[in-house]
Amino acid sequence: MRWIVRSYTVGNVMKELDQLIHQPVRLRIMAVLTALEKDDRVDFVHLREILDVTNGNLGSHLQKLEDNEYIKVEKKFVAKKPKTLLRVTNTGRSAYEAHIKALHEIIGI
Amino acid sequence: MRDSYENAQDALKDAEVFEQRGKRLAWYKGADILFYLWGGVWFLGFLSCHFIPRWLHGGKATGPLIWAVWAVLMAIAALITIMHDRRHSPVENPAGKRIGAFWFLLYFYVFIWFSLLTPFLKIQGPEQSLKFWNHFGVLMVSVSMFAYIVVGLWMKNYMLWVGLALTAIALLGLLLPPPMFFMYMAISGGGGLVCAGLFVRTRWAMS
Repeated sequence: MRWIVRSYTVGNVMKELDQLIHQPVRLRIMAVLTALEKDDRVDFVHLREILDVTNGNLGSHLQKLEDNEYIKVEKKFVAKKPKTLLRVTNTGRSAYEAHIKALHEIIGI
Repeated sequence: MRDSYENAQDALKDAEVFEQRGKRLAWYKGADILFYLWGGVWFLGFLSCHFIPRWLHGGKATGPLIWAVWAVLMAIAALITIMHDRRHSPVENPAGKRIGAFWFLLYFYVFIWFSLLTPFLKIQGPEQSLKFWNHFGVLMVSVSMFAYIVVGLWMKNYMLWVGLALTAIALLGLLLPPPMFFMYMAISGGGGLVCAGLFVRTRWAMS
């Protein structure tokens, strides 16, 4: 009986996990971005170096996060060179915090 | 259920590792080069002050010359710092411009305060001049380090400790025989900033 209750609880918490963030690369992106101060923007190139992924791979994950308004992408030119800057939105920060809380709940069960 | 538990544990560990990397990215990366640059400026600035006679034979003080050496060195270093930050900084923050403005305003205000006091300063003879410029050196170091401390408190990072350590080093220098002060500051102050750069580089390499 106890086992059934516990697995039911795990099932509930699993439902609370944000499937968009649960993917490992996207979890890492969100971890890096939320670790920064509010309004901090990270350069695409440095984020790629930290995550050790290709341009295309990072680009596709960022697109998904941007489509869901978890991050904001800004482009500008510095010394005539394009620079892409990324920052987490309030929605993204809340989603990440809720996701981490759900993961802790699973471990605590 | 075991799978869920282990997956969650792995995901949390992963998130923690990358949160640390994010923090280190903001705090450390690229800062080592700037510490080397400013360490070099301090070394050259204090070293040249050591070799400039503080009182010329005609009875003329060389204070303006010392000022000029520092102004040129600091202007060049400030320009390089701004260009380096614009091109290589991994993390941008709207507060960055405000921090830059704070530095410039701080030095501008020090200039005003000193200009107000200068007419009442009467340095008499080489011995007093020797002590005066040592004290002036500590004053300027403490102004710069005050800015480090404010930035460190604001950004919650290691700049606070660099500021406190270098202020203590400068104050200790006043206990030395006065002619040794500038040489001591060139080695310990300039060297201290280079050490801070090495610390930053090591911390970044660890992530």
